Amino acid sequence: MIAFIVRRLMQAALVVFAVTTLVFFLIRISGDPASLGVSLDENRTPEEIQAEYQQIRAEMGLDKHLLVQYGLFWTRTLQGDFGYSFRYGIPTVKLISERLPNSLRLGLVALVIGIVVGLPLGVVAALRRGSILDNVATTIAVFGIVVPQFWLGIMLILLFSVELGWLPTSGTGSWKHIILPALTLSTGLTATVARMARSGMLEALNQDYIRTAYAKGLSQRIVILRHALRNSSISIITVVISSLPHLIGTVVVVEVVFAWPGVGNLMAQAVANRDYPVVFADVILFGTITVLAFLLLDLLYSVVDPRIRHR
Amino acid sequence: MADNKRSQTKQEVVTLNFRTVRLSVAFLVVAALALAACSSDPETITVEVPVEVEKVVTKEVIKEVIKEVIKEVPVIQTKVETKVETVEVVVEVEAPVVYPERMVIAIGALPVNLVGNTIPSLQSRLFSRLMYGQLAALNDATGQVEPEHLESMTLVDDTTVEIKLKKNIVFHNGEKLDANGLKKTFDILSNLDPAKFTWKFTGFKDYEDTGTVIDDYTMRFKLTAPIDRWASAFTFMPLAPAHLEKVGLDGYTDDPVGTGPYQFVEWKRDSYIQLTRWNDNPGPKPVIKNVVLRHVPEAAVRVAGLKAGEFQLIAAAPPENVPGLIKDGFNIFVGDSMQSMYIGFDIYGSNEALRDKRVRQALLYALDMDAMHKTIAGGYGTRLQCQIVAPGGFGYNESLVGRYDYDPVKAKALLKEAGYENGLDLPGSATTARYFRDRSLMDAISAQWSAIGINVDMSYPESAEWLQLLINGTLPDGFMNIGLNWYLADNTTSMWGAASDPSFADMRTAKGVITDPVTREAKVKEIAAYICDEAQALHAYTIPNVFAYSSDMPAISASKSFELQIPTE
Repeated sequence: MIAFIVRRLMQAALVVFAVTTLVFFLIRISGDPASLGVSLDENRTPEEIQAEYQQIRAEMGLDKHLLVQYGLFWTRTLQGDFGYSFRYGIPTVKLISERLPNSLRLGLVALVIGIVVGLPLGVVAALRRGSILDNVATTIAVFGIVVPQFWLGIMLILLFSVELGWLPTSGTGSWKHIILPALTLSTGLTATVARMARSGMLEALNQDYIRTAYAKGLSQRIVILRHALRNSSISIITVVISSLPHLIGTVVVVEVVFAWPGVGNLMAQAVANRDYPVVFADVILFGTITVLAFLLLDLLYSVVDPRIRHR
Repeated sequence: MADNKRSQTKQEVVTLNFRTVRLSVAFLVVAALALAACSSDPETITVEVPVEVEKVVTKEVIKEVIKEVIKEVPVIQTKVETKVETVEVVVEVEAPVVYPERMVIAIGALPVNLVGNTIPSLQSRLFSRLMYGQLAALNDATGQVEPEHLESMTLVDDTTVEIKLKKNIVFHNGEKLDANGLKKTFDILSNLDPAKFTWKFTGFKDYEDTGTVIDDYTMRFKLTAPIDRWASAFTFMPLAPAHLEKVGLDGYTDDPVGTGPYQFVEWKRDSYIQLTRWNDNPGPKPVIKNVVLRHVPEAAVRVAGLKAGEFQLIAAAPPENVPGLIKDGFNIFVGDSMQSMYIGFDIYGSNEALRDKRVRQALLYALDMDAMHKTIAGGYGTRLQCQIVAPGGFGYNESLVGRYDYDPVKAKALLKEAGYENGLDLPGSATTARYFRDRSLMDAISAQWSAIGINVDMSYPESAEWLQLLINGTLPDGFMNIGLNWYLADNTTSMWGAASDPSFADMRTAKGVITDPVTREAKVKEIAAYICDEAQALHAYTIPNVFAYSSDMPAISASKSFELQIPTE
């Protein structure tokens, strides 16, 4: 097992390295941040503007050969130095550590909502297959998958903040502030969990061991919770954990809509401003979270299904 | 709420006893009125005033007395009723307006640090001018930089500037502003660590150094060459020198100190900035006690927050939301900004057609800019008239009004005359979402050009990429760009597209050394006329500055530099 974890961690590091490398080179295609810092005072000649542009590039270290920059980047990163944010002028690590707790809190609440709402929805839909309840649950699931989070967030704000006045529109402060962003963030996850729970349960309910369990005189509650749900839990866990990359992607949109001061919001601003150190640090963070989540998924398999053993 | 109503009336009953008449009892009546004014509901207060009879007291005399006594509060109506030994005077007064103590302002972006003079965006001035005063400031009406914390700002000779500080300028922490402290802050800011402050303080780029202290309140500066914009260096926000030395620039951003009407309370990066009224401010005090600036990037959410009562004011309200907000009872401020949208033509680029003045004129005649202004900018901002400066701005040339009014027939005729009867293809480039609805404007323009046979192949690179191409001179065929100009007092005429025109360059150089405002304004007008005659650029409209705010707030306005103007007590 330990060998398996070590091997997977090494693979994870390789994935993070590859993703960061890809981003490092791709982001250069769309303009550099020095251009955003040049004063386009129109009394200046193009030569003066060009000179300032080159000076800023030099100060940012962008005048060096790309491969040299790449080498320096990894040398510093491996020493834990992610550099200063071009935009904020403070260490990138400090900037991210200010935001990360907010994003984790939001992600965690969304995850809980996704499981707590999605799981029963899927189970009930499976148990009442073909009923109105099943149709309603399926409709909710489909809606949750197709609805754009940006639009949904605005609609929820209009309903719960403007019309009903129950919840704040944006920002942080009290427990009320997290409800709408978490709800918006969780819709995709809720829908996916509901769908997987439904199909997993339907499959399990047709198995021989379920009939045996009923034949033994076990109550429906015991059969559902102890036998059917447990056996369909692998697919549900897979869905929940493999939804993390999607959740991370969505968190950028949701945090911008709700002015939630998390790493997603920071990432959106960093990309717009070509704040390379912050973009790279965010990519490494998101990449690490994703690969660790998949490692966790592999480990959970053996817990849920003892037949699975890692070598 | 009743106490928030802008105008109320109150009734006061003042009973005057004629046994003694002394007019010096005025303060008693004032006190009574003040007490009444503090209450939200109309009420009656009777004040027994001993007055000694020194002259014949008539109703008119009493009215005059009352008027004198309550001059602090506007009198609406006075009724006088005579009784046996008393005169009852009923006075209706306008109660003072009571505003909420707190105003939450939602804006699209908060400054990345709070140190004055290092905050890059013009929009951040909304914050910085609440907290920081300036040595001198741009006057919207005159277009000139005029003293604020300065007693005077003089051009001693062509290259020598002398400034004198006012003697009573105090910082929020009690420090006093003097020449030595000012010099110290100039020096510190001129040597910012580029890793920490990407945006440089370039205030003294036209000067030999950061000046010499003459005495406690006087400094002298030497220009490297005569230049028209010499005063711009003094649009400087003084920083408290002792505090700055003690905490450094890093510490200053966590605990900023200025000389503005509000002082710093708390800041959470990219979330909010909290300010409170500086009660020791020797100048006029704003009527709102606490101001919170909230970061809300999405315009739709800002509007929703205003409607929900979460924000009292939103900056950059979308023009299309304005009618609905007015209908819902919100107040709107629509002003001009100093930013003008224009499209510059590269007249000396590789594209031959654009070198022909008739083609450029056809490009201008082919556009119904009034319609575009109305639909894209909601009719807000000011339609430009063949020049970068809006009416009222420094150097505005009235003779250019209507020079290229919409005339597609004339446009086609000009194209035919230039040999492009069957139309022509042109490349173009513009940003997306860098400037106010830039892509929408460019799409509309392209569509109208195509109606007369000019097909524009537009590209919309990312802002950073577009700027890089612009700086490197590698935009597609160097044809045109969309941009904006901040027509500051000394920067009114230059155009990117015209930068390669030698005649224009000569005129600009000549203007650049004229320090006399009157002569310079004449030159600015001359250059504007040249650009218009040569059809070197398309001038669209100024970017509107639209605020929406709740009805219980005082009448709030903003300068053309996005500086919020909150009424004072």
